[in-house]
Amino acid sequence: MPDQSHLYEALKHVVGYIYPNDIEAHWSILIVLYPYLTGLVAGAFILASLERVFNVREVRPTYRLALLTALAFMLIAPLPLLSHLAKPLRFWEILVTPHLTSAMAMFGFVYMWYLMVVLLLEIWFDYRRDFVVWSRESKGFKKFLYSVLTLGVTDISEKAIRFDEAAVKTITIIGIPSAFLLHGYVGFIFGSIKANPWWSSVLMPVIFLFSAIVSGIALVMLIYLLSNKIPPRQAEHGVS
Amino acid sequence: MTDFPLEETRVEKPDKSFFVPKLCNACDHSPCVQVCPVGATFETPDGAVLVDPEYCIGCRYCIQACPYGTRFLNPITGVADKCTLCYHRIHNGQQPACVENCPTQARLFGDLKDHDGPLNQFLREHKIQVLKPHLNTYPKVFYSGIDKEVR
Amino acid sequence: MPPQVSRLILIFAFIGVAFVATRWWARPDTFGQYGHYRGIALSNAITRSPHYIPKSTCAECHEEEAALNSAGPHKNVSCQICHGAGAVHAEDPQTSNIKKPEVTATCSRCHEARAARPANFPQINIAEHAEGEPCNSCHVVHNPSETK
Repeated sequence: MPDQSHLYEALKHVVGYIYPNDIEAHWSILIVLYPYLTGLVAGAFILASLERVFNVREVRPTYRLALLTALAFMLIAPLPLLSHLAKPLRFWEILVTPHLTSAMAMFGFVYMWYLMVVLLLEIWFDYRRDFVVWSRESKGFKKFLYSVLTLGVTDISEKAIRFDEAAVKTITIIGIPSAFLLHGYVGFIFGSIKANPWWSSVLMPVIFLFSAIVSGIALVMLIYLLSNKIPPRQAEHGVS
Repeated sequence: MTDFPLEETRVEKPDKSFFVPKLCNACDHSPCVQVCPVGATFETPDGAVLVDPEYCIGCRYCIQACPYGTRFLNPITGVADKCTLCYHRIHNGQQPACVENCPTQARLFGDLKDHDGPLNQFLREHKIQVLKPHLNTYPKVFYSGIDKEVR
Repeated sequence: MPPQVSRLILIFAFIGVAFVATRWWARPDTFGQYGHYRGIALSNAITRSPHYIPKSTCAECHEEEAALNSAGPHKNVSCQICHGAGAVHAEDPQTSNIKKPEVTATCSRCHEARAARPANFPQINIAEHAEGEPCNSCHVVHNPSETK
């Protein structure tokens, strides 16, 4: 049984009956963390798309770093949500019986779309040539790992590589609205709660998006700086 | 809350004051049913709103969504909980416990679909208010004689 | 079709089929019986046992108190308002989870003067009215119109 001492402490100050939610913040630090992490994902992806779609040459060295940052934070973004559930072992119910009117249930599908169709695919197409080369060069477990990551497609002819590049570009073009959808939807989860006047606003998705772009680009810049300074060595991210 | 200037703002003799017992409003368009991601909060065919304690995942979305603040996380079961309108009592021919035990008989329970029943008769004969009507939740809990300032 | 694409289509198709199969397998039996919820939750809610009992059940054994109570202004007040829920005690009279209420605090819950209470409802300022004496030093609690 969870610790209830704070509830009893509060009960001394009231006459009669109160609800526990009168004295507890039910969405606490973990729920704050989750839109923050998703925002970093969306922002990092926008930075990557700057190079691919809008041809901003200056950010080219950060392209792969930005994609990998997005993937890393995408994978851990559900963790704070999961650990905030009172019954974390029942999380599968969201996927098995999603309630279509619930913004939270539909976010599961937005998340899956972004992770599977946008991020993983783009990274796979971008790294496919490298996976094939590495699987030939390395030994032991690394060789096995890279062979699995090639998904058994070892064709790295000129034509295949050109197709990969076209695929990456197409996915990035789909990916920009998807990144907006991903984080705008997080804003919608909060903005659709009419009961809370501080949240209930149509501007919520926009507010979330802009803070996401700012914080995501800042994060990639920070990681780029740190990874080049400590240990001091040449920049090696995607300079080709 | 200790910094809040309670003493200065307190009116010695208020013009009007009300007891407003806040219970689940059994909304027809329940925000809590709408936001439940798994269908653990649901509206029964006869209009009560219940929680399935064995299916609730404890995401607390319903607690945030309830405009009346009547949803809570039960600290003993660890899942969201709410007034059940005494579903087990009303289905066995009894009144809800709050209605039966109210010392001044201030509460009335009845079938809204029974147009000539005592509840509908009461609703016709009295000035009725619902809480936060602007949110379009269409509550099935009615308050008689309170001011529209009460929210 | 380039080999990358056909391989990806294969993998995505596999994931899709696995997802649909898992959904079909993991979906609770009674889900969707009446709506988007487990139908069994409805029957579970109906079969819960009540905590509160009708006042007449209390009167079956506690005749003396019931007679005293029904003669006075508290005749419409349920025993369980002050004494707590009675279902367990009614089921097995040996168990005693019945509260013996703290007299003055319990009375003041209804009878302490408050602006929101109707003017015709008996209200007092307990501190002035009783000067620290408990209510039951003058009033008979089950029928407060009688005084000792």
